[in-house]
Amino acid sequence: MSDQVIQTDVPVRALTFSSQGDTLSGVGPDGKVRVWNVSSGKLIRTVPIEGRMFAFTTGADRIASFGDKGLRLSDATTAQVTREFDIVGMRQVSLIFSREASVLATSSRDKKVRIWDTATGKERVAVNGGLGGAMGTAFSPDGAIFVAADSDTNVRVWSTRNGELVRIIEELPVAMFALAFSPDGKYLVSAGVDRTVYLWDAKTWKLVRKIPGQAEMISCLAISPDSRLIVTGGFNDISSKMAVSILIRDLASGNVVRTMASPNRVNSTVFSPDGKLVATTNLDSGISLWRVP
Amino acid sequence: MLFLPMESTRVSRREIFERCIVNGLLIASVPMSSTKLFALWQKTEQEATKPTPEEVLGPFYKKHAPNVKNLRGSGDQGVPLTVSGKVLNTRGEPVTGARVDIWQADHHGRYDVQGYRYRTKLALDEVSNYEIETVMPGHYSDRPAQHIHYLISAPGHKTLVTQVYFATDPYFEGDPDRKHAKGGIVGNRDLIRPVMLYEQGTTPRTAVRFDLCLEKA
Repeated sequence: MSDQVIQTDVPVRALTFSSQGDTLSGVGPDGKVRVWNVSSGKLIRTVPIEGRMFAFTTGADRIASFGDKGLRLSDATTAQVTREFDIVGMRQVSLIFSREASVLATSSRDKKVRIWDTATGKERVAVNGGLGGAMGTAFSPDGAIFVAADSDTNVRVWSTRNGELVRIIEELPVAMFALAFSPDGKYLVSAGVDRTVYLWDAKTWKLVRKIPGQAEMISCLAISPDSRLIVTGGFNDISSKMAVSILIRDLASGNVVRTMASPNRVNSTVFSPDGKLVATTNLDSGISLWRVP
Repeated sequence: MLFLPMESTRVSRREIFERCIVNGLLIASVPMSSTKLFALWQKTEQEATKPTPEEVLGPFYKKHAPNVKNLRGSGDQGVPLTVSGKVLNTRGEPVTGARVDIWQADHHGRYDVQGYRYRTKLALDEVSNYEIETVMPGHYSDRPAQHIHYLISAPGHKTLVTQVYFATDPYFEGDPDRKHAKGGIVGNRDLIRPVMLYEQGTTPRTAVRFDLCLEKA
């Protein structure tokens, strides 16, 4: 059992804490942003946003959405559209912001990765991904680097400024579903099909460490604000409806700090800004909150 | 013997085709009008030169699979399946130097992600025929239609990522023509292939033909 459950009427995605950590935002399948008070678990407001795919900026003040009305940037409180992007012909887009939200990255069915300037709405860079299309993506904390894990098992590293391919990490045996940089910028972390966490040096792109030990395939991960801990959640590869574990581990030693359980596939894992809480969602309604030891 | 004089370059394909029938070079296994037979012939020719539709790569691809023809281990559960075909270009000619990655779930619907069970990377010769021995892949709940993955590369050609499906799959309810789009799983009806069922000794076996047509790079 989690330490606290925030009741929600629908399963939520794109789970994001406010900068102060007092509220949590998420999006339901109806495209409505919901904001809850973390300590009371009460729903504060519901904001309608058009789209099928969503990403919040850090702190959840703004939200990018992709849907029938295209790719748009909106105020997450008022729903006012502040930017529209020119995205003719893009399909099945996934979205991610850099930490400062100066750029937005999209990966789409055409296997292209595009970096957009949020101030102008213009495409800055469009690069070819791999044979399969991007599954996990991440920006470095300073926004200078963008990485994408393709189902061809390669992780590609690009310069955000000019789209230069900095590196292809080719030594992974299987596909990675989740990528993140440690907030201190030292490491890139990846995890996926083989249930192992891989730590890469974010300057040389060499493998630093492997952390095995998860029983299931890893679908999502997050690194604590102090860059010390990692939380990973996953899914059973026979059925998403089977129970799985969520692990908080020490990045340096790989030691398990806390083991938690989910009744089915874990869809998101996030640390609160003070690093004291982990929030997770799964296929069901509700948000689970877990204290970090 | 079929004899065509020099000026026969102006003879239509239809006429050549009819001469073949008259001369016993082409025989239909069932009684069929020459018009119907010609239409069938043309359809087959066109299909041979149409690039194979693409499908998603899926999350379970692994590089560096061994070059093996027999993917089925002794004692493995599941209906034995032979999959064979050719790698062709859009003119219907064999492609030289094709590398064919093939991977699938086992009878229980599980992919081997630690090792290389039910995975191969074939290096084809200039004839570009392939044949593998495997089992009918199992179902798994997150992607309920049985399928085998392919990744084919060849010098001078576009890399093709695709999948083959089986007309006998219960998922298509015995009617793949009408049920192929069900659930948005199969991208193209052409990827659902007929399955030949036969007996070897007392064991029922299945065979599927799946030709792969690559576009020029």
